[in-house]
Amino acid sequence: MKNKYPRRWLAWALCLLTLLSLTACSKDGAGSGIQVEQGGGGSQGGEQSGGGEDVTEITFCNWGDSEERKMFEEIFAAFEKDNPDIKVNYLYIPQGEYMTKLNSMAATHTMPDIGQMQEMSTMKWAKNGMYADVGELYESGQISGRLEAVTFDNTSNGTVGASYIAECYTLFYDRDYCASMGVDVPSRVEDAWSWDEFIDACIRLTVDVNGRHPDEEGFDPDHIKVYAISDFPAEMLAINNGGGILNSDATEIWMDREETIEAYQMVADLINVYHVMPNPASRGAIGGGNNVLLTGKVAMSYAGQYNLLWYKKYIENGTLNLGFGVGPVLKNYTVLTSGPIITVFKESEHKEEAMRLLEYMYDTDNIMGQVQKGLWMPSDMSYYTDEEKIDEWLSGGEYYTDEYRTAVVDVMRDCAVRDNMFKLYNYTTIYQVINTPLDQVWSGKKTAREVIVDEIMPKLEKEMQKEWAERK
Amino acid sequence: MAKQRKNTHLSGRARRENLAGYLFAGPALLGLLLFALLPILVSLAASLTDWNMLTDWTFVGLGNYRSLLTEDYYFWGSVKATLYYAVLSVISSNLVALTVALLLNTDTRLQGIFRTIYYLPTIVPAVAQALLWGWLFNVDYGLFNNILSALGLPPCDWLAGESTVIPSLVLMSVWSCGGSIVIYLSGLQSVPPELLEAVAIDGGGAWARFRTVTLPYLSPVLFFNVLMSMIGSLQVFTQAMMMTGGGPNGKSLFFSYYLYLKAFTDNQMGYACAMAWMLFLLIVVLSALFFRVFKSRVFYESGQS
Repeated sequence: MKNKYPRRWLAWALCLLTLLSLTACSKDGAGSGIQVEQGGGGSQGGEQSGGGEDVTEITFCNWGDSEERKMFEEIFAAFEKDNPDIKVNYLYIPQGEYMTKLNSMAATHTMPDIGQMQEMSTMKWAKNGMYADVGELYESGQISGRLEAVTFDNTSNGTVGASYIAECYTLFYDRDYCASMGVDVPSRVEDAWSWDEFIDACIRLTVDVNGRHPDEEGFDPDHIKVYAISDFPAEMLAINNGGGILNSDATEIWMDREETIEAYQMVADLINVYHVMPNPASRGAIGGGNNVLLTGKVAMSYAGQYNLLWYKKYIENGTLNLGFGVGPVLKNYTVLTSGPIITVFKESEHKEEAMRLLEYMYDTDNIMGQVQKGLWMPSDMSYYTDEEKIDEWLSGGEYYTDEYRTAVVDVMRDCAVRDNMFKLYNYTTIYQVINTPLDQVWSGKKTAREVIVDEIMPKLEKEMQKEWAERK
Repeated sequence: MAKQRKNTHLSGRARRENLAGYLFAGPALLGLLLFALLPILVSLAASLTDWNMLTDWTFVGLGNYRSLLTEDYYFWGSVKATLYYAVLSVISSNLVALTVALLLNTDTRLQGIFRTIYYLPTIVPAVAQALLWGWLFNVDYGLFNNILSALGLPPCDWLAGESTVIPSLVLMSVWSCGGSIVIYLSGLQSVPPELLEAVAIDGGGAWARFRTVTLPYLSPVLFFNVLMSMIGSLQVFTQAMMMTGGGPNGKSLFFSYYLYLKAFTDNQMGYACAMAWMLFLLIVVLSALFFRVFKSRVFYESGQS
């Protein structure tokens, strides 16, 4: 009879278990609720148990797909070999939820020691003093000499820094298809198309399901089989035309300048007048990004250089004859850039060790093997000016063709312009104000002038006033 | 007095049993307290601040609510989009679910198979649904436009059109109304066949049987389903997140999605908390209204209403 109420013991046990599992949610210790994988190969000498000096564990966070994950594991393994007193735990977060996760970690004071920052939020985080001061590394020249186009503006909170790798918009094209249509895509800025030549080429590249081109009688714009181009970043064309959304140091609004309005209308005309490009809103499944040329639905694609990582597999197995081109020139050929910084977070308790990893990753020699996989471009200027270094970089794979040299490397050096992500604290808010009403331009419902002047400008002016007030 | 007496009358055994009961409920209560009630209260507090998740917050009073109602560029548009979606989706998904349930309730040989087929979409995860329908809706290569073109009809913009985006998303939501179908079906099982027979004997047709017997007996289920789908659809999120990004031209910027953007993209967590409370208020008001208008019309067999 002693065990008359066995369920009460069960209940106590359940409650205790719950409490126990809750304590495991606290931020200290290994059970921090964050999934961390061991960086690198794991067991180089000098593990904690091996006696001798202590090993400091630091956590590095970034995003990417499985291929990129492998690349980072390689980097950390090499770093740990050179630095046996540091162990890198790799916290991998899917790209779509990267800032959601990072913001949540910041709010709960569970930040990793070091990590990659998404460009759109980099300045906002700098404004809020989230980074350790890396000014010394820049001033001492240890990680300086970067392309200006991937440099974040300095703030009162110390140096923000430059991207450790760079990216720029690249005009990829399907060489076989373009050749079959008799279109020769230029690969040097000197040979670049004028706008009219570009339109001509696009018309020759676009065919409907009956094999007709947009300039032929009976062309069916509702059933297009192949579009000439998947996407054309309008802001880039605006800068190409001497305009832009803002001036180069973001102190003036240029959105309503004639050059800008004209460029936005030109892009809209590619969709609605010439029918050589899909409406961005309807693009959906053919995508504007990765692998779009593989679908065979477009002939050319303006996308980040990083697409090479995925394309190269198809180049190597002969599925895709990939070309690198240069788009049309209006006034000055322009490509926009991106590229994340690596930063040490202010709350890190292992700043010194984290700084060593940061310095290591900013040394392009240490990550050359990964750069050459096609995902990245170096961010130091010397890789664009020093012939020896360029040769070293481009010896990494057969996909680095002569065209790549002129249409990507030289273009990055001569035509790259900093995206506003590198300048604005409130980038996301400001771009929502710009991009939302532009859908009406892409769909052909309104002209670029109507939307820019009536709908965008009043809000943009208000938002920029706030931005400028924060700069002071 | 009565309560006190009752307590003293509890035997030692009964008290121990009570304690055991609380203890068993303990883990669930603890979870509710820590992971629901506490965050809810924190979010109420945060809604009165300018919290950006990165630095300490400052108290701003009702400032967030004020700028939400008076200055926000997208607030009213997003309320409108959400309400439009909710109304359209509640009506159409319940109509379809009820119709399908009525059909599935008839005695056919393949009843089991049909019921399975209609329930199947419900177990497809929301994200997979979004990807699948994204393809179906694709303007250039999607199945729907292919069908339209085969019928000689002009293509539709679906998710790309300002006026078609919400109806398209509603169409998608109707596809996965299997859950409501099951509830309607179980409601239909409780309709007494003898009453249906009586109407039939009196010469009533299918419509009369439905209106005078089935519908009253089904009204509690109908009430429940409509209320739940209303609350659910006011919180619609995944479709905007996965398929439209709130576009085109902000026409599918659903409230929950806008809230998410404010919180995690713009770092305005305090503001987003205020938005969450506005949504809560909206749902409470609409639910209360719904109760007021329809509760009295619900028929319960026991006679209680």
